Amino acid sequence: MATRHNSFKDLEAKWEASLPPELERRVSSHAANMAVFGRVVEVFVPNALEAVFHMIGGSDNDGPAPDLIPGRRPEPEEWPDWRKPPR
Amino acid sequence: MTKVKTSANVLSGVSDSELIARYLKEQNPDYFTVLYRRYGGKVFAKCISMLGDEALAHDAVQDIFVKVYLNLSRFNEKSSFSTWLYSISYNFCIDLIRKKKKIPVLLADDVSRIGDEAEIDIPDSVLLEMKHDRLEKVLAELPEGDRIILLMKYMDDMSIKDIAEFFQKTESAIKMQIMRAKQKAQTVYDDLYASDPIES
Repeated sequence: MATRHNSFKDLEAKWEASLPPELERRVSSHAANMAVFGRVVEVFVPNALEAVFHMIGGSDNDGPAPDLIPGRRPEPEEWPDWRKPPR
Repeated sequence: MTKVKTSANVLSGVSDSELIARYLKEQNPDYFTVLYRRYGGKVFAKCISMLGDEALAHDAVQDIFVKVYLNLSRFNEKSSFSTWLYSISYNFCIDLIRKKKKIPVLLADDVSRIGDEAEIDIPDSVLLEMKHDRLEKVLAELPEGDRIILLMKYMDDMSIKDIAEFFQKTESAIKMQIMRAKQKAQTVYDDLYASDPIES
């Protein structure tokens, strides 16, 4: 079957040909900048948030002392050695 | 630049979905450059036909691709990448025209205003075989909504289903809108070229 002529495609081809090549550079540099910005955000935002939490009075180590956590089993090095007499 | 060129040559046979998957995995902007090379011209063609201004169309292409870049992770392959990209492009241009004119762009809304007058279905060949410089002038005279629907159907080869989804209308309403857009195009053509109806 012969393909039908399509003036819309001709018009599209004409417009496509007039696309300036510098536009590709603009789009590519935008994409590269956003990729870098994305990585910077990924690396620095968690640290910045942590810094803010410290500044407003909290930290990772502010939880209850390990021996105060209910139901927590003592680690082997914490077990009392009954063979030694107490000092 | 050489690196991008090499990548583009190597990736020429890779499908759009595969390119997007690789980009999302590796975050390498070179994959995006390949997508731009495939579709930049087509998006530009839509922008210039919608906006009618070359400088505005250049800025629109850049903004559309930035938008696509930021939303690539949301592309869910329910439709093809080209359909998704063209929908973003049309929506972007419609918003730009709305802002510029400060009046609502009539889309398929006038589908519901179809009167009792007899509808004549103009054969596709009338538009498809028109000389492209005349077609350009005819399209420029049409309302935005009719221009978009004709571009979607005949330039982008979008299915009636996809067009209906874009306008959030039924398929039969879209078919009717296409018929009316063709009639308007024929009327504009007759007005413009009444003195020289035969294309030379």
